[in-house]
Formats: sequence, C-alpha cells, structure tokens
Amino acid sequence: MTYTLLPLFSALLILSIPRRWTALSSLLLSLAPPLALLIFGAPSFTFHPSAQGLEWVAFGMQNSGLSTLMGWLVALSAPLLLVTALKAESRKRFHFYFHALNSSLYTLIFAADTLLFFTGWEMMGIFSYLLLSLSGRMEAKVLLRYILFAIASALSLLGGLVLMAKHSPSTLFSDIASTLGASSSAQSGSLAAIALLLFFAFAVKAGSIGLHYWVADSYEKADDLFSAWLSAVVGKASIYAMILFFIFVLSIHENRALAELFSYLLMLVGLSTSIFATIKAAVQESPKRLLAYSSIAQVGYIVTAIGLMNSVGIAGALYHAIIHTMVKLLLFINVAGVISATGRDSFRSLGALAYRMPFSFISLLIAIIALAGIPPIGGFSSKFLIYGAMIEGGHPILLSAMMFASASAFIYCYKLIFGIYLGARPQEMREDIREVSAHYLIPQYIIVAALVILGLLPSLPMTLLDTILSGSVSGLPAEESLFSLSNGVGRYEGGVLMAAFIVVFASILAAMVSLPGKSRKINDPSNIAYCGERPESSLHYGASFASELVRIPLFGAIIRTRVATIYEGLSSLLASLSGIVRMLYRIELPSILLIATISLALLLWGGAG
Amino acid sequence: MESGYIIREQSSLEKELEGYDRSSSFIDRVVDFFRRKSIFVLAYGTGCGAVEMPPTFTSRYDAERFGISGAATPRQADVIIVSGYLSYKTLRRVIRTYEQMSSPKYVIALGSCTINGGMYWDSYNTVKRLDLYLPVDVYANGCMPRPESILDAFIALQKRIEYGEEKGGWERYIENIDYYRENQRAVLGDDIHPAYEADWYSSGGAL
Amino acid sequence: MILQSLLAVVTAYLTGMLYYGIYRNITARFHKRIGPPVTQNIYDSFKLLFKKESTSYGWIFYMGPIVMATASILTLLFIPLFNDGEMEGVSRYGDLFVVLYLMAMGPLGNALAVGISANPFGAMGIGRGLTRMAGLELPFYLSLMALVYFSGSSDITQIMSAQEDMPNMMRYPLLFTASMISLTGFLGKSPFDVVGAPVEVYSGPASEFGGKFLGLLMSQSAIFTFAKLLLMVDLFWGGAGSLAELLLKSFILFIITVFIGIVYGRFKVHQAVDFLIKIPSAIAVAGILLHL
Repeated sequence: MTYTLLPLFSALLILSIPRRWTALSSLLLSLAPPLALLIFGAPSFTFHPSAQGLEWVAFGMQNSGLSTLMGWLVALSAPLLLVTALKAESRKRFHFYFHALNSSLYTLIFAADTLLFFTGWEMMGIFSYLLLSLSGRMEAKVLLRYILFAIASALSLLGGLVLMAKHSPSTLFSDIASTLGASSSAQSGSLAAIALLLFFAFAVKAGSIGLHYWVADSYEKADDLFSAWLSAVVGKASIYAMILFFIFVLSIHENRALAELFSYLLMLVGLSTSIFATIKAAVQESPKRLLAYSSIAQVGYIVTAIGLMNSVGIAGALYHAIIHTMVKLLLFINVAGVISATGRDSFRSLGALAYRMPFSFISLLIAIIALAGIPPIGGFSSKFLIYGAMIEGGHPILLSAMMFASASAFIYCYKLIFGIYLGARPQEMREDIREVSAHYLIPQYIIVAALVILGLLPSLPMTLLDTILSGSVSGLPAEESLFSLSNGVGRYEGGVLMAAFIVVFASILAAMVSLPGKSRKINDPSNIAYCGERPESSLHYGASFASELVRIPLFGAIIRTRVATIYEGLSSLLASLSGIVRMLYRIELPSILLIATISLALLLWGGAG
Repeated sequence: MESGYIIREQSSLEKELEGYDRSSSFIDRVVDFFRRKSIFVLAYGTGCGAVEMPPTFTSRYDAERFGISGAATPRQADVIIVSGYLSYKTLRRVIRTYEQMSSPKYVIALGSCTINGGMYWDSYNTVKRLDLYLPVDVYANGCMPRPESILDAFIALQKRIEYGEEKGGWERYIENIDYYRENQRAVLGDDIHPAYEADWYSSGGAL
Repeated sequence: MILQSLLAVVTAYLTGMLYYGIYRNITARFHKRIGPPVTQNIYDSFKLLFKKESTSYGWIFYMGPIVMATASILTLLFIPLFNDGEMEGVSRYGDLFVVLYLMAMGPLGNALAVGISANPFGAMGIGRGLTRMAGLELPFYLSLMALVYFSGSSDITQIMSAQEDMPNMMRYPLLFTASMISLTGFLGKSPFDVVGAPVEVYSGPASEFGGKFLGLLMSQSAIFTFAKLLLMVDLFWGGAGSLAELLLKSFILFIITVFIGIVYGRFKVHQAVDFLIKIPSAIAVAGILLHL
C-alpha cells in the first residue's frame, strides 16, 4: 500500500507547507515514489479481512512486470512535470490534487483485486475532474461532459467487474482469472457481456472514436501542465487496463471465437480512431487541441496493437505507450512554455518564434520527429514493432491503413511546428519575446536525451517487455545486441542508422560550407514580394494550414462530422421519450385512456399467463 | 552621361569580345563552362517584348537546346530579361526582383525602348535608358527582336561568360550602388528599398 | 563499406542526372523539338552549386536542404544495390520499413527550411506536398506490405531472393500496377506532379531556394530518383546482378513513368489524393485478396 499512501501523505503535507515552498516541496516529495520503486520494488500482498458473510472480499497488490512498468512510467514522469511546475504552478490545490491523482493511479496500477482497481479508477476520475476545474479557461459544460463520460466509464467498469466476480471465490484477479478460464457455456455468454462492458469503459477513457467527445475540449481548456499529465499519463491507465483484461484474460481463453471477435473489434476501433483523429488534428487552430487529437490518434495505434493479441504486437503497444508518454509530456510542456512566453494560445496569433526561442524549437523538432516515427530517433522503433506484428498477424490491408494514418500524421506534425515556430510573424506579437526559463527546458531536454538514446539503442526496453509477456503470452524474438531491434519479419540496427545519419549529414554540411559561394542572410523575412512596402496584415499561414483538406471527399467527410451530433441526437431522443412518459402523469383524457389501455393489457396478459 | 566607366557603347559583341583575355585559372574556366551551359531565365515579361519570349522557349525556336530554361522565382534565376519598355511602376518591381536574384546574374535588355526610350521616347512614365537604373549586359535591338535575335543575344551572353567579362553586370551594380540608387530615387522617389534589402552589399556575406 | 556507399552515391547521382537528361530529351521529341544535351542536369546543378552567393534565412534554412539530401542518400544506402550480396554497404542493417520512413524524412526536413523563410507560398506548397504524399503512400504501402506479407520478410534482400523463379511483377501484376501508379507520383511526373512542377513553384516548396541550396536540392533529387527506381527493381523485378542489368531495368521502369507523365495533364492535389485513395488502392486490395 506504500504507493497509494505515499502520494496521499505528500498531498496532505503540501497543504500544510507555506505557499512559497509548495512547488519545491511537491517536486521533492514526488521523488519519493521512484526512489521507493528502486529500493523496495513494487508492492505485493494479499489481505483477506475475515468478516462474516464477506469471505469473498480480498485486497491485494501485485508486482507483475506490467504493473512495474506502468508504475515506473508514472513515477518518472511526475518529477519532470513538477520541475516545470516550479515556475508555472504554485497553487496549493493543484499540487494537492496532483499527488492525490498519482496516488489513485498507483492504486489502479498495482491493484490485484477488483475493489482496489475500481477505487483507483474512480479516484482517478474524481481528481482529474477537480484538477480540470482549477483551470481558468474551463467552461461548465466541458466539465460536465468530462464527469458524465467518467461516470459512464466507471459504471460500465463496475458492471463488468461485478459480472466477472460473480462465480469467483474472491475479488482477487488471480481467482477471477482462473474462474473465467474454466470453460462452460454459461460463462461464455457472460464473458462476452463482461468483455463488452469493460471495452466500453476502457474505450471511453482512451478516447476511442465516438466516445472521444470529452477529450478535445478538456485537454484544450485545462491548465497547460495538467493537459500534459492527462495526455501522457492518465491516458495510459486505460491502456494498462486493456492489456490486463484483453491480453492476460481474453486472448488466452479457450473461447477462440470470442477472442477473435474482440481482436477485430479492437483493431477496427483503433484504426478508425487513428485515421479519424489524425485528419481532425490537421485542421485544428489551437496547438492544444491539435495535440489532443494527436493523443487520441496515438492511443488508437496502441489499441490496434493490443487488438493483434500477439507478443510482438503487445510489445509494440507497450513500447509505443512509453514513447507516447515521453513525447506528449515534451510537447505539452513545450506548448505551455510558448503560451507563457507569448500569452497567446492559438495559431492565429503565434508564429516565427524559432530564432527567438531556439532551444524550445529544437526540442519540439525532436519531438515531432519522434511523433512522426522517423528514424533514427526513438519513435520509429515502436512503430516498427507494431508493423511487424501486423504482418505476423496476417493483416496487410489493415497495416496499410495504419501506415496511411501515420503518413497523414506528418501533416499535423508539421502544422504544429510551423504554426508556432516558423512562418511570418503575426502583427500583434510583442517584440521582446525571449526564450523560456530553464524550468520548461530541463524536462524537455531530459526527454530529448531519452529519445535519442532509444533511437541509438532501440532494444533497451525489450528485456523488460519480454519478461512481461513470456509469463502468459509467448516471448519475443531474441535480440543480438541492444543496438538492433527485430520484429519478427525484419531487423534494423539503431546504431548503424544513427551513425550513418551523422556521417552523411556532416559530410554534406562540410561540402556545402566549403563551396566557394557565400550565403547572404536575409534578416527581415517580410521582404518577399512586396517591393519595399510592408504588408498590412500578417502573411502567416499557420492557422489555415491544411485547411484545404476538406476538398478531398474522404477527408472532408471526416472533418465535417461532429461527434456532438450523435450525442445531441441521443439527448433529443431521450427528451422525446420522456415526453411520452410525462404524458402518463397528466390528468387528461388521452393519458387516462393510455393508462386504462396499459392496465387492461397487463390484466389480460396476467390472466392468460 | 558623366561616368564613362559605366556606360558601354553598343557595339558588335563578337568584335568587342575578341579583345578580352580568357578567364584565369582552370577552375574558373570549368565554372564558366557550367555557367554558360545552363542559363535559367526568370519567367517575367515586363513589357510588350514578352510576346517574343514564348516562341523562343517553345518548340519552334527551342531555346532549351542551348541549356536555357525557365525559372519561376528570382531566387532560382540567372538572367532577367527586360523585354521592352518599363514603366516606373514596373521598374520598382524589376529592381526589387533583380536584387533578389543570386549573383552571378545578368540582364538582357530587348528592344529599343531600353536604349533610348524607343516608341515611348516622350512618355512621362517610362524609362528612357535602362542603363541608369540597372546594369545591362546584353542589348538586343529591334522593336521587337524576333526569336532569332533573342537567341543571338543568349549566344552572345554565353560567349561573354566564356571569355570572361571585365566586370560583370552584378559587380558593376555592387560597386556603383550609390550611383544606381541615386538614379532610382530620382524617378521613384525616396520610398524605395529599405536598408534591409541593401545591407548585405556592405556586409560581405556569410557562410 | 564506406567505399561501397560512396560508389553507390556517385552512381546514383550520375545515373539520376542522365535519366533526367534523357527525360528532357524524350519530352522534347514529343514536342517536336530537339531538347538539351543529356548532361544538362549535371550542368544545371553544378552551375547552381558554384553560384557566387545564395540567399539564406539563418541556420535553420541552411539545414533544410542538407537534411533532405541526407534522407535521400540514406534511403539509397539502405537499399541493396545488387541481388547477389555484392556492394551491399550498410543495407543489411536496415529493412523495408526503415527505407520507407527514410523516404518520408526528406520532405519534412525541407519543410523546415521553407517554413523559416516565411514565404506563405512555400508553406502552402508544403501543405500540398504532405497531402499528396499521404495520398501516394496508400496504394504504395498496400502493395509493398502485401509483398512483405507474401514473402514473409521485410528484408529487401530476402524479398529479392524469393523472386528466383518468377519476378514479383509477374506473380503479383495488380500490386505492381498500383505501385507503378504511386511511383509516377513519387518521381514527380504528371498527373501527380503539381507540387514540384516548375510553373507551380510559386506555390511550391522550392520557392525560396536559390544558389547552392537549389543545387543541392537538384542533386539529391537525382539520387532520390535512382533510389526509388532501385527499390522498385529490387522488390518487383528480382533485383539486378550487375550494373548494366540494373541500369537497364531501372531505365525501363523510368520510361514507363515518363510516358505516363508526358501524356497526362496535372491533377490538383485534392483530385490526385481522391483518385489515389480510390482506384489504385482498390487495385492493390484486389491484388491482395486474389492471393490471400
């Protein structure tokens, strides 16, 4: 229980520390969980309170490889975020809710029984809600939307967990798994129901298509640092839960038909989410919304990889989760830095910051390269694994759809860097914008270093992933060295790739520099076509970049659909239904007749039966 | 009219070129070979002479066999053809465009309007001598010069590059920038070319 | 290894340039004119490289063409040159996925330079270029991923050796057709050439490049052309055993795309993408389903 209590204790401690030291103490306290993980490792215990009639109640925590991996992810990301919070965020409430949220995440991740798992899930939703409400830009309807979806997810999860625990001796995961593993036809009917309920619950939190209504607005209107946390870490809880259930329970179940069905369901949902969100991301006008849709798309890749249900696929999913956490943390902190330096948060009023904020530019550049999955930086390795897994699973067409989504992702990746750092300077931008402070840059460059190292040594996480998987699913192909990565159908060497890149780049640079011609630098880029006159309005193209995608029929259809229509339709349907029910309560002839008809029908049916 | 070193007499080019030495070193000769074998002309028709440019560049007279092809932006072009009269309005843009080009760059002036005003010799709004505002390398006489003349001008330009000119047009422009600017200001007013555009002339370039 | 890589780069440069020269000559004959000498592109790129000055917008602008050239050369280096293991250079350290993603690195690197020049036409061109690339890649990836699936490996050498008895273009003609349509676009031929076409360049990515940057861009374009043709020869025609065979096979593929390009006019970007995600993709999917 250490990891649940430790952050809670930190949270309470923060409340009592004077405001000047809040952020610093928060940062120092957040170093406790990673140190504890290092020294003591993950928790592992079971506890049966033996109360009368409650023998089935049991609590437990597990130290499986998957939980340890996820735990490390949370533990290492928190200090990075809090370094930025030293400068950006000193509200006590923020840090209190933040540590409480982390406590709930640890509970959820290390839980070995349904009770603690559900507690963690609910607490995560509640503290996220509280953190969202702290934001100055937040609107009531966005908050309401968030909490409604969180409640829907939690209720569905509760239903699934209750059904799962129905025949099992206790609430421990191990007992439930062994009970579900026993074959019986009644089980498979309820197994399908369980799987559907759990899939719905996890899909809501992962922002799958149709259920992503809450994601974009929440990420956009939240505080900049909390958007980073939401996207990078809180989203991984649903991934963890999906792997836990769909891989370690469903994919090894004897009911192959059900496993295959859910495999296809996961893959199709994941793919359509990626394609949809990638196209949507390209037409957004605010960097945070763009990143929100990008998060949805990347989690879509992870869900697709989970749906493959083979070992390389799950390794790819986990690797992609790690990379995605790092990259989104970097991206959101970068955007937070830009917003705090310029005071603007829309592409319409941002642009041409590259030479004024060069370090932020470089870190965003590396993040974009990793997000797009271009070798030799780390993001390519996870995609490599997922693609190989799809070939092994025998889905070349779905793989091409996924690679198509990945190619379309280049559009929004470039839009992000172009809209903020390149292009022409907007009229209303101040002249005195300087680079952000080191608090924003330090976490970014730590992540940049990690991405470069992962590019050089792509097999670094593979041993851990192998131990996670070889327990229940089959193990991974062996690697020759840390430099090489193989995905079942091919291999590549990260070290050679990076060395070749550096050598070729350096030689071309040397050749260019040694050419006799000189290059003359234009200092003011507004001299393009205006013959000495200054244009009146800015020529910055950032906000409407890629807006012509609507002309392509498929993309235009995707861009024009609004998921709000589904929900508005649903709510108007419910309103009309409730109108019918309301009719029963009026003292009028039609309603009296309706009641009489219903009563007569019931009497006749009761009498006949 | 005062500065004799800028004004060239219009004379037959072959006769003039025979007096010049060839370029000095082997590298220079190789580079000049590449420069004359590949000429990018900015696709910018400034005056009525532009009507003779499409036939020159298309199938009948085929300038591409000499290595001449069109370039779309001034950054990529070597040669700008001033094809006829230039109103002052266009002159402002042509000067701007010329300064955006990368050296070595050449100006080919077509038609008699560039020499002495031609048909518009008494107009209030056109340039009477292009030489005062931009350094011209090759003139092609006529009103309008036919495609054969234009090709002859290009061949003359190629010969100039091969034999190495005394001072290329772009070098004359840099050295006498004040003279040119003065002339430009006289007709265009003070509102030309903010300093940022001409700064580099004195800075010497970079990497 | 370094020597082999260097030889590969030089071969690619010369071959690409000569192919482009031949392309200009063929186009000229179609237009009833003579056309430039075949070495014209070499003259063009050297002239540009030796320009006395080039305009730049700072170090970001300087890096753009260099990154694009790096991407082209890396793409070339990671594709095996011959199918009998000679002159393999670094190609055995990478596989098809690496090559495909390296192909995508170039335009993105160049896009940085275009962006910093603040020319809105350049940025528009980048948007069009990325959109067109996404469209071109769907049928290309469909056919290539199908090849990987049917050959059981994503290592290009293994795909080549699986074609001992029959080249893939005969065994999977529909896949070959779909990928040739995409190749036409990748090589910058009509009807998919709106992004890089000279008269469109006002709204294109190359609008602010001059002097040695443009020279570098032209050179890397030649190397990249050869790399793409080499990839197609390796994947669909069983690779080549000698330089002469390689030149012949790549030239035939090049000529097919040239002939398609000469005849067609240009699609707009959204028309091109709409066409590409419907018809060639359908052809590729049909090709996959036939053999599944």
